[in-house]
Amino acid sequence: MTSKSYHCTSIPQLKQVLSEANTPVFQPTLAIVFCTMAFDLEKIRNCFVEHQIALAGCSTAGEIINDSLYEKSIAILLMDIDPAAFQINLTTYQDKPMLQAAKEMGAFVGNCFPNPGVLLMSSGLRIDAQQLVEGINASITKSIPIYGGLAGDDLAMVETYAFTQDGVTKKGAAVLVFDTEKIAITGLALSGWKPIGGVNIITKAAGNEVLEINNEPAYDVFVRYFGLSDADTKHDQLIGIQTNYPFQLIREDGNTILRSPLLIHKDTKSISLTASVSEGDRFRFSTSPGFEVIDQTVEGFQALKSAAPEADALVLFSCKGRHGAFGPLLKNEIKGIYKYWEKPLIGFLSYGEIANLGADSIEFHNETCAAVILKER
Amino acid sequence: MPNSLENILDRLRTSNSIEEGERNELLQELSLLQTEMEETDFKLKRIQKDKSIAVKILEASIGDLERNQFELKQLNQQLSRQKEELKLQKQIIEGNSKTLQKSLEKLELSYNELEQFSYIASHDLKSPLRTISSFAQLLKNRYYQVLDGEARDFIDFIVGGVSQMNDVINGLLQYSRIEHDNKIMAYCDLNEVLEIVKANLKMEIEENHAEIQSVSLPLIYCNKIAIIQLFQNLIHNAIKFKSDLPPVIKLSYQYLEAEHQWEFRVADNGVGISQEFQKKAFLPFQRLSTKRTPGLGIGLAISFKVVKIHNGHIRYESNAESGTTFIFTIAAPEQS
Repeated sequence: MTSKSYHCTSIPQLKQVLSEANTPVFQPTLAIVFCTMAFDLEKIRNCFVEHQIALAGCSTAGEIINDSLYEKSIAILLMDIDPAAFQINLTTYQDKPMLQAAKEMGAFVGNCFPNPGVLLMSSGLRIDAQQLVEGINASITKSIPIYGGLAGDDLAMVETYAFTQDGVTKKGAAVLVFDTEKIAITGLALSGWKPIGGVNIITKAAGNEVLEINNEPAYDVFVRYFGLSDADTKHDQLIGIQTNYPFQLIREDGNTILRSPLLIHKDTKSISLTASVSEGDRFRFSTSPGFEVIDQTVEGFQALKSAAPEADALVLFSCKGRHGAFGPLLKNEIKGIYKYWEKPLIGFLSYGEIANLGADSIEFHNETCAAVILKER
Repeated sequence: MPNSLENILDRLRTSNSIEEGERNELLQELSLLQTEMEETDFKLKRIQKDKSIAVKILEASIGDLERNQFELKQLNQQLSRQKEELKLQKQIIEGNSKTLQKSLEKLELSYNELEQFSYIASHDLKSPLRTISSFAQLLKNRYYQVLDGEARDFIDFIVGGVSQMNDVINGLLQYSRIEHDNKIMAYCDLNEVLEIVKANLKMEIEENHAEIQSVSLPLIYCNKIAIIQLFQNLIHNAIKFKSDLPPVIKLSYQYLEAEHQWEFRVADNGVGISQEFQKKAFLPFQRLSTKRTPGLGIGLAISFKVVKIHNGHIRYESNAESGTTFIFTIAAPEQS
């Protein structure tokens, strides 16, 4: 499989790239595209339709191409791959409960190939990502590699989108399924956030929305714990705060999982997380990790290099929260990962990541960097 | 980035006084420096922010913990107070309980002493009474021809008085021994008891043409001898205190589920007992009728005691027109 990565800053540039991409030795059949909300996604989709290139992608909060991080760009990965080795579906959550849509998604994946591997890009700012992973887990009877992310919108917190050659949706997912007997998929996700302060209890919740913490309105607790002023909270979004200081949920088995607050609602004094929680869930607040985590993360991906020494292409799902925490140093992490394989790499800064971290079922995470290696067998 | 570095870069780009190669090298290095400064600037700002937020989180956590601690302390104090109050109440109850226990012990002691006294007194009185009766009888027999009519009457009065006193002593003895002699409990067929009573009162039943009607009686847990005494006393009284009609005595019963008790009724068609005697009817040596009927007036007192040792109660309902019904209860095994 031959692949090439491109960075475009306009649609005309994209059109030119696609026109010039097709050569006697490289005839792309599949494109993965991560794109800023600054461009018309329909126009971008049409570009690929016109060139008869299958497409899967989503909107972002930042784009990664090879060893660099960009904003307001289009990241493209073109692959010259056997069309029989993949299938794409645009699943919508519009008219049905999230769990049911996710189960159908899982069923689609299971029916594609005997041994599928999945890249999943989901839109929907207010979807319950926990139900998304639960639905997929319910439909899949064995452990398969699944990696993905929640689309971004450059931190506007208005709407996010996923798209395929078949359409663009603000409440759905682009599901790219590979036949792992032809394309090996290997991935790894790492985080690094540490807990701080005492254990708190979510005493009232409804889906993604946390209404009360320790019997006190969640908004009041947040303002008190983070010392937010009126000026800070005048917007609904907790920009600069939320993604750096996620809730660290404590599971019954003692393991923890991060959940980032995404929106605050002054009228209802509640906070929306990226996935649902239950009343009685215990959590601690988290601090951003020290900058040494960047080196630790890069070192950690040595394990992925050992598992998959060769790559044809790489896809990176990196939480927008890491950008908030590491700022300009984030590119060091991206550079470090890229250097292992030095092959075409695209990625995006997401509002949440999906990975199965070696476990049998997939989980939804925040503040994670997930790298996926694609290699034709 | 500080203005000065940007200015330097601008000047460098536009300067003609530096050779191109050197300029490019300088631009590159300054660019790296610019990146480094940006990163350092970011690090400092983030560390400041993290420090500030970490302090706020910890302060808020500590504040919450202190508040919880205070609430727990208050709750603890409240619980301590309640504990002290309960302790005090317990002491009072224990004190009262001890006092009650002492009183009960005293009462039991007194009762035992009284019973013993009654037994000893009546037992010890019987011997001299026998002596008086024997010698009075001897006197009558030996000197009957010599004594005049008045003397013979006096001797008859002495013998009669002794006999009466003997009966009283026997009655007292029987009354005082009720609890002592009737401790053994067993299941007993009351139909069998009734047959024994009928046999004991055969003469009285025949002489008075009395009729005893009864439903099939149950098996109860009791002292057989005492229960025979009870039924015999009540049926005998019913025959003794008859009206002008032949006595008809009806026996019935029911089981009171909630109280775990058997309730028996012995109803007659006799002359009735005035309700004014309710309180003293069951005391020893009480005569409740103006008629001269045989007996000491101890039967109901004995019946009362028998019912009492079976953890029951006894009362009567009566009027001159319809006779008297004695109602008594016997506890079932759980409460006995």
